[in-house]
Amino acid sequence: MILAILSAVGTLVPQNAELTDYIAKYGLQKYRILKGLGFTDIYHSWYFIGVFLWLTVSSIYCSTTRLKRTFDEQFNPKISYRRRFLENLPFFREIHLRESADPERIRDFLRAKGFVTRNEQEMTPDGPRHSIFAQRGMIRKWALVVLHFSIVFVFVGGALRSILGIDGSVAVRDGTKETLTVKMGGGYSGMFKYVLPDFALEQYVLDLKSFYIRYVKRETPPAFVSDQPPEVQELFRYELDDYVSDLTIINEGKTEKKLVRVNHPFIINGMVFYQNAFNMFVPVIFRAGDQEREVLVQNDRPFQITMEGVRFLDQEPPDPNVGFYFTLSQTVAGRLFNHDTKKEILVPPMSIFRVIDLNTGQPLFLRVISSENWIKLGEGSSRVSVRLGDKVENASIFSYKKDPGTPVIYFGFIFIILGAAITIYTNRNQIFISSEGRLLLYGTRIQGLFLAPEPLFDQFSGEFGIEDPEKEA
Amino acid sequence: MKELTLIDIAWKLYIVVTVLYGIYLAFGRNRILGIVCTLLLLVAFAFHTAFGVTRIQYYWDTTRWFLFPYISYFEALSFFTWSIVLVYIGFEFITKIKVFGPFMVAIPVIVLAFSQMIPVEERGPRTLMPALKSPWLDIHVLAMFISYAAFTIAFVCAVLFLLKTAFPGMLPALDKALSPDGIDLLSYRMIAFAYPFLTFGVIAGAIWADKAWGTYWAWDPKETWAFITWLIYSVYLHMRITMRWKGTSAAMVNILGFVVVLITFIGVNFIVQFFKLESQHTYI
Repeated sequence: MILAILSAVGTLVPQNAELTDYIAKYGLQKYRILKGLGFTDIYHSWYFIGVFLWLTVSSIYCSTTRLKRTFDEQFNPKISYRRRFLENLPFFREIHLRESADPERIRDFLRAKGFVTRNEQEMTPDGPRHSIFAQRGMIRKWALVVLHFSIVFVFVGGALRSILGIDGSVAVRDGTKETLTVKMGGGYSGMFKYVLPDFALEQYVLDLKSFYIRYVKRETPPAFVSDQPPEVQELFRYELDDYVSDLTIINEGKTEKKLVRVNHPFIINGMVFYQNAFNMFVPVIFRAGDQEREVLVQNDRPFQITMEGVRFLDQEPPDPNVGFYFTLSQTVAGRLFNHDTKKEILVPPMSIFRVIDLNTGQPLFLRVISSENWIKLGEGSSRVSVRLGDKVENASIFSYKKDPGTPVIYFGFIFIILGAAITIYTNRNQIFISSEGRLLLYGTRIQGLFLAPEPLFDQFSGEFGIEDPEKEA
Repeated sequence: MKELTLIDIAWKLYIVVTVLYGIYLAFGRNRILGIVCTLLLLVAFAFHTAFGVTRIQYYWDTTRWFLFPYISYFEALSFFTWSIVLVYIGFEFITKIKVFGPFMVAIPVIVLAFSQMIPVEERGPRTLMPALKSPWLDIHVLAMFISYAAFTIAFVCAVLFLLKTAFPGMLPALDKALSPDGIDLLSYRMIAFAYPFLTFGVIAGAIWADKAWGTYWAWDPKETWAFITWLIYSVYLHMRITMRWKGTSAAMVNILGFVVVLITFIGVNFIVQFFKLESQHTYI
């Protein structure tokens, strides 16, 4: 419950955000309090890690004690039952047999029902007393042990990753190479650097031939552009399909090439590279009077064109005299892929130019902008003509990881699922019998979710005797 | 979007079914009325299913992916209610108990009414983001929805248990079907049935995140609330199995668990917007 509450706090306060964002949202005073309490990075705070460690230790303790108990119940069960023990079981009956108890016959009967049985005989002043223990569904008990151990495995796998693992991200521009040098455990500190070996440096050369966004063409444009000009509707028919990087990686003399896509990472010598993000820099050429300028803007990054140049609104405040600002989106600058015809089409750079009202933030209108024709914006002295440049620059951003904890975590995951399912969906049935002469005491304990009534007792009493002594008489 | 008519019909039929189930419960559990309720529920469910099939067909035609309809927020709400009705039909079929009908069908009615607040133009099929194009999508989401549906039944049981405990004379027809202890046990069974699905769903999500982004767990708000859901139901089962916890205290934890389910499923989007957080799950 403590873990649940702490986890919830982390979803109410932005984690690891920029200082300016915190101050804008909470003010300096409140930010200092939040920071002091560790709420701005709660999942790495000492107390959060402490709760996890406590959970790990208690899981280990719980698992080992359960293991011992389960082992004893499986291989060394206690077999000698007194009446009081049997009477306290959830189900208890006293049976008067037709003839003296034959332990072997009873065991055969129970074995035929899938039980594993054991018996013990002891001598009493009244003659021999037989105790029989039978159980079915021990897998449930073992599954519970496995479930608890699996949670420990996941924690151990996570710890291996954080101590030894490599992860990060790297950006590569179209047509360029980047060299990535890393080593396992490179980030560990404290006592680990004395305990763990010094791993060798690993070098990966990433050669990005090209990055592009792949589109599929819809039969009709989406409804929300139905009132837009035809060329805007036409461009909106292309829907985002995937982000694709044509990547070659060289490592330890091995060269491999692959189209890296989302959900389709590049794996080389245990290192995995994921298509994570991209930057698309689009040159915009604008002409105002005799002046012509070219500036690089980014997809979906709002900007304003003024007579002085370009203002990026995430860096400086807008010029209120202009009255509107722009974003570029759905920029198409290379391959389009039409899945209906399986035909690749190369197009010149083009994009949707969104003109947004500065005061309301609502789009005023959409235009298609391309490298081939100018569009005119604004009125009077703020009138400008704009087109795209001829070449769009892309950078693909890959996240990478090498995680020695992965097999351990996957092992844990698989057995958590199996453990939970078997524990909950199977029953465990234990039968305890004690007999002296023609008197038989029968007790049962059933553990499980879908507890069946005790049908076995009816069969048992039908086979060996009757329950009601009066009927017998 | 002609298919929206199908879900509209289904919703209106669910309203009628809820009222009829209420009459069934209030007036002595008339057998004929019970059969009419079940049949009408099946008809409503058929319309609801037809809406889903239309969307499945659309996604198959446009993306060549077999996808259940939970890509947009509207679809997710619809699929959530569809799962609840499916699990309830299975429950009624197995247990032959109909007295939960008015409460169980009322939940889809309320959720679908809430979905009517989504503008019509946003109820259409959505473009599938690249990260969602994975076989793990169906595996992860289906498991989560099955668990959510069963948790909903457990929640209804918990509420009824508390009401029956506080006001023993209320709804005498309910007593004939199940005692308060029976309701409590049923609630436990539904949670226990759902728990492995929830566990599987959360783990499938983690494996998928690892395949797509290289990290099992990023403490994204949606992931975190799914984890909190898992923790609360783990506590419930642990206490129930090891400490024989039942009755009022168990019902309270059960209700808390369902509130967290609702936060995970519906509330996180609002939390993310309200607290201006970043989330990779805001598309659902």
